[in-house]
Amino acid sequence: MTVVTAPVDPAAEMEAQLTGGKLDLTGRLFTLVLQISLGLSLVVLGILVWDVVSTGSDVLTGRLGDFLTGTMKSQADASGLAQGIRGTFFIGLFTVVFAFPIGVGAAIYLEEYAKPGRLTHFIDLNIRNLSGVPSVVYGILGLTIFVKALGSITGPESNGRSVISAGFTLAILVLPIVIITAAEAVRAVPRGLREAGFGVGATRWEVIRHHVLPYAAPGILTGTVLALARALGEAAPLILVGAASGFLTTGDSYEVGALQDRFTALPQIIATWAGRPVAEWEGVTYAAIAVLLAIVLLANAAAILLRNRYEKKRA
Amino acid sequence: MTVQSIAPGGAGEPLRQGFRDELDQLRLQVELMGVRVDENLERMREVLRHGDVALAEQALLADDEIDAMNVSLTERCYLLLGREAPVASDLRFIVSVLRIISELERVGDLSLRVVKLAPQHAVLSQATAAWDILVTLADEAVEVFRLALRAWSAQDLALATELATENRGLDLYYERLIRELHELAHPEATRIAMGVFVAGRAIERIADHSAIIGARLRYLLTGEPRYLAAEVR
Amino acid sequence: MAPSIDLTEATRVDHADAGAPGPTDPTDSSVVFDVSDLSVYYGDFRAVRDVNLEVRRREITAFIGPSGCGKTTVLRTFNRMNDLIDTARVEGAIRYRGVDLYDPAVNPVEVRRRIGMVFQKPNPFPKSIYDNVAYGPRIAGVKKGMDDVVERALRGAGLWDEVKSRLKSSGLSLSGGQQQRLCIARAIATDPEALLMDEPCSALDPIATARIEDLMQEIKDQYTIIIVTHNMQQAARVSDRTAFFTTEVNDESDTRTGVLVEYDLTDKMFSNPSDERTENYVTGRFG
Repeated sequence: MTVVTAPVDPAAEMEAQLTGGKLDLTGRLFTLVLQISLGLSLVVLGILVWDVVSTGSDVLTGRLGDFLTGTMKSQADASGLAQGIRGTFFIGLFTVVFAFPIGVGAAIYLEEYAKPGRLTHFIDLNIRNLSGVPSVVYGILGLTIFVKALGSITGPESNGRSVISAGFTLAILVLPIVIITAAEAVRAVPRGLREAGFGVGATRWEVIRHHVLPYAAPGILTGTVLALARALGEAAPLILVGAASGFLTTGDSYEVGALQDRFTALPQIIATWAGRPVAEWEGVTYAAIAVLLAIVLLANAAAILLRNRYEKKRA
Repeated sequence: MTVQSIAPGGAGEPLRQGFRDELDQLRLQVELMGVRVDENLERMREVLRHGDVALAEQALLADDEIDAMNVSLTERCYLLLGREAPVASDLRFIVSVLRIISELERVGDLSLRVVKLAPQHAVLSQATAAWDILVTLADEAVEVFRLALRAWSAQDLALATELATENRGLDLYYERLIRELHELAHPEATRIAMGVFVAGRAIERIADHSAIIGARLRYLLTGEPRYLAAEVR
Repeated sequence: MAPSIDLTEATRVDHADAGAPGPTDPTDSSVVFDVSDLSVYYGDFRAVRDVNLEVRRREITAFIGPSGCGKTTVLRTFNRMNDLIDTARVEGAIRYRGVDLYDPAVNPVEVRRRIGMVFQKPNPFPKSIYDNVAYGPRIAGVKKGMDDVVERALRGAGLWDEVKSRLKSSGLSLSGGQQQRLCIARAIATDPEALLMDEPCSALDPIATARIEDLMQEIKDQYTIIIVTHNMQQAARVSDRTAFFTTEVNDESDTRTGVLVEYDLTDKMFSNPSDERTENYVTGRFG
């Protein structure tokens, strides 16, 4: 029996080979799963924002000015966030003024100056652990040191329960984050850039100041953004350090002397109002959440703008 | 602590094997060209002895082949120079090949000059004294040439040095031939003298060029600049 | 605290007679670098051993050899760049105009101002072309006349005409070959005596490479150049002297140590080297 094969057209066969192949079913399925995850996350986020904004819309659209400038009162429809905004503002300020320079400085030291060895590794490990410590623990730290031990400095009239204590506490809380992200950004600076600097006769400090830091700036600023967002949003340390939950006669002045007085901050206010079972407080609670979100977004936006400016310089 | 040198190729394997093979091929091809020239020299000796005109025809054809080989080997050398960018001993080798095949081609041409005298053999050989010297001269010169071939084939420095430096008895024979021609007494003395002189001269040049091959080979093998001027001492 | 060694005395930078027609002694070959029994260690590992050579003024010296033979390591000892690696350690001596570069009193920053370096991959600063070139002189204290310094350096690197109208644009906006010439300009801006080049053309196309080779010939009169190269034809074309390094395997520790095999005039190295290992390397054969 002879087998007759049909003449094969090489071009057609090549086309068949190239266009054929297995359908990447698992790949496509995986892509779909990822898309669903992203979608779900966005949906959840969307619902959250919508919920917040819609429930607080009466307050936000009705009496936004009063709301932002008023102080805490016993009536929900008369209460305002001014004191909370001020507290949150100072906490943000403390974070930037203390955590940022100290954190970046520590990162530079660890990456550029410290000799790699057991000690440096140990320190690095501990910093990473610290970034994972629950914020309540930092609250207790703040309570012990700034409120109780240093009470005479931080708040002689307020038993140490001032915005200074809260500011320092939260600055310490976010310090590990700043150090880690800054260290990563510095580590990512290409070796060629450093070598070029040294090669031309720059000292170690000149290389860091003129080349490493500008290059790492975007990464460092991203770290600051993360740290700031964390600091502005934490409630547990505030509670422990004694942010006021009820009436507050002070806490709405931006003078330096007033830093030692009793204070409050937005997360604390939100926690307090949310805890009140009465329905009338619901609107203002959600409105306050919306305001906090807006502040965090604003801070983020500022940092991102700065980061983009540095990134452009880099290219 | 024992130490072994790490080869650039890594695991001790030869590199540029294609190029190495090309160089080997080149060496063999030069040898082959030398053999062809040697065949014509053998014909030349036969013609001197017996005047066989048919041999002369064969020699002419063979010379065409030698010329063709010269051309093709030259081309190949140029190709290798451009393609492989050789240095040091490789460069010396290729350049030496170029110069040596030129010498071989000259030797081939010179043997033709003698072979072309075949039709006149009857007349020329009547000056027996001079003719005997001529035949001896030819034998000597062919020996020198074969020494050159051996030296090339073995890439042997001792043989090359011998070629380049030794004072051959050949010069003495040549002087004797000239003296004989001066004293020639024969009705056709002029014609005979001219013919024999041309042949003698050509044969002496054959030995010369063979010695130059030795000198070039010596430079190739040692790379020393003082051997570059391929003068025969 | 030991007094720091003043390298200005040690530097005899005679730019006055550089490239000028006239009474320049063509046989002036004073030794700029004198390397004796140099070994470089990374921790306990000896990367290269027992290097002995002299680099002469206004010559181009090439270091060639297979990968891992230590030629870049040795090059980096000439300007103390090995200091950047924590575990690096040097034994033996490398003298620059009589001063031991690794003397504890010597300031590496001063060394690097006088001995410039160009790297394998072009690495201009992410700054403007002007600032790239001006940076070195600026941190060295030059305040006035910076425009002239920049122009001279860019001319010296053969880049001036191409960039003179856009000095403010970023150094990174140039092509690869231009970036490398910018790095050369940057290196010569501090008016060094010597230039170290670590495979400067390996990341460039043939035309850019040819330009830089031409440039090297032009500036040879002013700077003593040491170039590490993988490209043997380049070493043969460009250099006056060549040092050939190779690796030796240490059986016990199964590591490789670089060693200097031969150091001689380039013409000799490539026409008739003394050592068989050199011959094998330059012809591309094996041992």
